[in-house]
Amino acid sequence: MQSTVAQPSAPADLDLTRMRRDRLAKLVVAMDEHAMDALVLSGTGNVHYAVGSTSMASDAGRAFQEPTIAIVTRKGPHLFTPYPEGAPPELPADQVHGSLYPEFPEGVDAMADVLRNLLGGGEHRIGFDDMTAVAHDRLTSIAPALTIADAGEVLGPAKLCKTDDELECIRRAQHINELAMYDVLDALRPGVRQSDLTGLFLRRIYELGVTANSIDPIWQVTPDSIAHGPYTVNGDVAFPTSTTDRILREGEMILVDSGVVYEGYCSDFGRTWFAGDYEPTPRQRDYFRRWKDVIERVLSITRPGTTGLELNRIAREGETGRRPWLDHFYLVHGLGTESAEMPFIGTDLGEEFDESIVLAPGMVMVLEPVIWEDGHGGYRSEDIVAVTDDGYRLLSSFPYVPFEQEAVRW
Amino acid sequence: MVNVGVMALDDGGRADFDRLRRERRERVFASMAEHDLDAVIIGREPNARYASGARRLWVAGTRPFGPGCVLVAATGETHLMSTWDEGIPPEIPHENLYALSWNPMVLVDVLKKIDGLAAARRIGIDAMSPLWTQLLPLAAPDAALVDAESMLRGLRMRKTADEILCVRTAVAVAEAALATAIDALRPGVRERELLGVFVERMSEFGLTGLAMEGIFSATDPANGDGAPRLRRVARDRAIDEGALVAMAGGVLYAGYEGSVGRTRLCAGRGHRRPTASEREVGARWRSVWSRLADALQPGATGADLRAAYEASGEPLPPFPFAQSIGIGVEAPIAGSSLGKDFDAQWRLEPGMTLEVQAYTAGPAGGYLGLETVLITDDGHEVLSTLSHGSLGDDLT
Repeated sequence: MQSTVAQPSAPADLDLTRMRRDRLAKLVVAMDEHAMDALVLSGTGNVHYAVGSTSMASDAGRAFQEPTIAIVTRKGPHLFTPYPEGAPPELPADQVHGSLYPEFPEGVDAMADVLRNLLGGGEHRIGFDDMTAVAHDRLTSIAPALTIADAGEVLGPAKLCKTDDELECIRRAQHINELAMYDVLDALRPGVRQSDLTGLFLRRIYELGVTANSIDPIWQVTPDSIAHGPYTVNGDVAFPTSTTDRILREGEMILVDSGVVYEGYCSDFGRTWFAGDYEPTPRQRDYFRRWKDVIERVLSITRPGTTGLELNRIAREGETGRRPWLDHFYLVHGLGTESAEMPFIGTDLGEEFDESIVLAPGMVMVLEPVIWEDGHGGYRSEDIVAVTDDGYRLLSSFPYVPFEQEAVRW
Repeated sequence: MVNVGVMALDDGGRADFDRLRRERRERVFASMAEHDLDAVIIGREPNARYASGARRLWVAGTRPFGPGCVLVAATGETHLMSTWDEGIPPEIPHENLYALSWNPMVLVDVLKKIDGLAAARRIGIDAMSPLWTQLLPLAAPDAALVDAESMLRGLRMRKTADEILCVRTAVAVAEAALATAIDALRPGVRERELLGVFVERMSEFGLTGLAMEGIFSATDPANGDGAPRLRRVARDRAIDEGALVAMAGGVLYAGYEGSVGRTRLCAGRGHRRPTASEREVGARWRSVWSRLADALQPGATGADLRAAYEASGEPLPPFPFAQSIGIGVEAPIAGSSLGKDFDAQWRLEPGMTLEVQAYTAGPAGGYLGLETVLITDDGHEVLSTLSHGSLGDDLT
């Protein structure tokens, strides 16, 4: 049976209040199932998932010391933030608080007081997504009735299948990301610097209405041989390496990757470009065609019930030698409030793990096969699909220039 | 007179990055010895940057703990999670790199093979997660896990000469970008467009990492009780003529942050002079700043800064107004909700770099000014020279 394709993705209604309400309901159900009395979340994507609040995006060097923290009980979330203006409008004022400072003993004590006040006496199981060293040292000794658990038990299942509102946020993030890339592609002339492309890209995404940028865009110059690029531990192509003011030269192969955020949801843009007016060689066209073949095979069985292992196997069919993706990455990763989240398929977690993944409606998959023939280069792009009731829906559409000029249709 | 720029000079004269990394590394290992730590396992990106000198991909926000960087006292070696050597300094050999993995058990095996880690008795950690609480003992069964974040913070707060030069460079670029955003301020421009102008100008210096997306916000009039209501997250909203617009941005140079913030009247083509009511918030800001400036000197504590702010009669903003900065924010020095006793633990020393801001608000809107300052032997130096404009009567 062929999968049914619904496309193209037309703009859909987006109701942020409904989105937040639906997510919280899922979290509370999962907390019930896992006997979790509260969640203490500090991961940027997790806080957004649980509360839907906005903070100022910042480098990790700031973000850890100016944390936005969500404490979620089965009665609802409490937000501790240096940015109260970013709290969602329906969150009652008495659930919006100033910052907690869990990097310090005084802050951990304050957090323990908050948990006591919210949960009352008795034993409680609390899910954390991350802990400061001081909280790890101190929390269970000052609050012996708390059992510390992994918040992932609850967040994982809740986040896996997206609601229509969440899918619409991802689609909008991707749409803005792609629109900005048209400007960048025009600017990809010999002599432009990687940093110039970043400046142009970031200006455009802010003009076009993103909530935040999530990663310094990658414009990686990639030689045809691994040996001519950076040393790698696993012998595969080094990717993604960070951007500098490197001057791009005519004909260089540029692996592009970027991600922006719309209302907490990430985009993921990946393409292979060439600097300047460059006519791909027949060999390069062949790599592109093989890359498309992998996508086509994967999409041919993308529908509810298919397992990750089936996708893994069909992706490798006809590809002799290396797996058609990078050794340190995956064939598929999910996308949501994290730029890479479940489902992961083709990682070093192994085939048993892949087999445990069963596609279901609302799952989002970023497909990122990589074709590589060392000494001759290769091709890498990413496309995003959401699993529907009977197939999939495409959430990305940027053309595969310079190989094809038309928007993507699968 | 420091020649601040981003170009590499063939005669030297700017930051010496080999020396910068060596001095940081030596301080970390010396401090490990003082704290009797056999190893440090670092998960936090700013600490990994500090200890290893790795130039890794910029990603916004926080990430969960994982063993991204391991320092072992017995061998003096630094081990890094990096699948490639691009961005990895030459003093970290290839055999000390380990690949990114999605499988925590693979990482446990990597840790087991790190020379000297399995026998460690005391391991410093800068963060932890419930998962790694279970897994780390598999790699170091006899080790007690102790807080190393406070040790690393203490090191990071006291800058070397090269680190200070990096902060100076970042401030100069931030100032240039902010000046361009100020030039772009006109009725009808959207707040997020100003952020776009800021970032594009930053990139013209070859830099691509924002310390923060910054403040580009039309300020609101104060509440009836005069309480400041500073909205810091910029919106996708057009700015009106007559708005007092708070603008602040921070950029990273070699991982070090420089930030600067100013407030300007959105006056349009006529460039009208600010009214008395508009100038009043600027004058009040000057009054706060002059008190803070008196307190910004070696020996003063965060509590002294808090007292200076309070003595101005202006309400404290609802976030720390003074923070130690370097590779990002290192500590809230003054004004956090943890109170003045908490602030009293931080004593200013020459070589510290702080981000200090004040906010005043009145019926016409608010005035935000944010400075990066260096504590010197006999006081402080404001690292930005950007004018405060007609609202501030060019106080700098």
